[in-house]
Amino acid sequence: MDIKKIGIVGAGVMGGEIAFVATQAGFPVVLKDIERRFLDVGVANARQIYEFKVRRRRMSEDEMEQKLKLISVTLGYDELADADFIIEAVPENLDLKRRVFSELDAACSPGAILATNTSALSVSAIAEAVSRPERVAGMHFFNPVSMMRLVEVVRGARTSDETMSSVCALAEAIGKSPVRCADSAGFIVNRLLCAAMLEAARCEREGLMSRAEIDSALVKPDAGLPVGLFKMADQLGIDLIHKVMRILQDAFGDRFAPPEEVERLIASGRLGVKSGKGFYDYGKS
Amino acid sequence: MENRELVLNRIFAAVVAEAERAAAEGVASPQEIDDAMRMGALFKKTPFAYAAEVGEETMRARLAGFAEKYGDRFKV
Repeated sequence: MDIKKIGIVGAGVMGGEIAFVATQAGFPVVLKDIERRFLDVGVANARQIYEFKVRRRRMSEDEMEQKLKLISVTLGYDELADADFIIEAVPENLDLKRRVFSELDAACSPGAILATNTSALSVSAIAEAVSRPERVAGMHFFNPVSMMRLVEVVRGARTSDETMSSVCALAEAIGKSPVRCADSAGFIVNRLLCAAMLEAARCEREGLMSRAEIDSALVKPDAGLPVGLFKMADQLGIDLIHKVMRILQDAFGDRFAPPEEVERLIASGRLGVKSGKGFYDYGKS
Repeated sequence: MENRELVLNRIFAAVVAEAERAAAEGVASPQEIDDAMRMGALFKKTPFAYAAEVGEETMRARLAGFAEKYGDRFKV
């Protein structure tokens, strides 16, 4: 599939980062959102990542400006009519994503692939909103997109082999490593990470070790995690972790039930790094 | 710290058990699961590689022991 123009719907942090990786690989991008200020943030995010690279002497300012010229912005769907490939990154709400997908279905050419960056919803359920479910797949990026190589490429119930191949090929063309998986709650990474976090929480609750001791053990070479599990939960956001665990619990059973502690933390506004406190406190800065 | 080994064994066993379930359900192959955890979670010890390193028999016995003591989440 010859991709000449990529549409990114949802210009938040993820949208801006995806715009960076796509334009860095030379693809023209149209960033679409519902408000000008969201577009401004998305473009600013992309620019910020480029500026970091320039400061690190990985590219010249000239090169940066050439790449940034590849990003255009829009509040409507007209500029997406000739896009070959759409990546949707709007908030995690099924009704919202279905509405966006039906709008894309109407606006985009019939051959365009409609990929969703959803981490928590069913790709198949989103695909029900369009007349071309075989052209819908999940394309799940990891945070921060500019640095994390993995893309989970999710096959929906009606996704065609051709679509899967095209999504994987684009992922590789923008410097990512695709891993294919089924449309199952949590796909691969979120499900296994939650299993790990839940076990760590149980060990703490049983009094075996404190959270700081557990996290400290987990980053030693013999365990080899990049960061402790409690710290990771704080970084991702405890409210998000809770949401993912509930989805996993509904899909797989009570072994994924969020621990009471998580509910207590949320109730007391301890959402993690973003609120200055979660499992740990993050000091005044 | 005596509990250190137990805690790490339990956390990794929980991931191994969940990874084996995911593979059995057809979510992805063992290699794909390990690749995803390496690149998406930055785990140096990915579930199937870790289980192979521990040794198949030891891993089975450990999972069975944990299932007996801590519950069905370790049962594969």
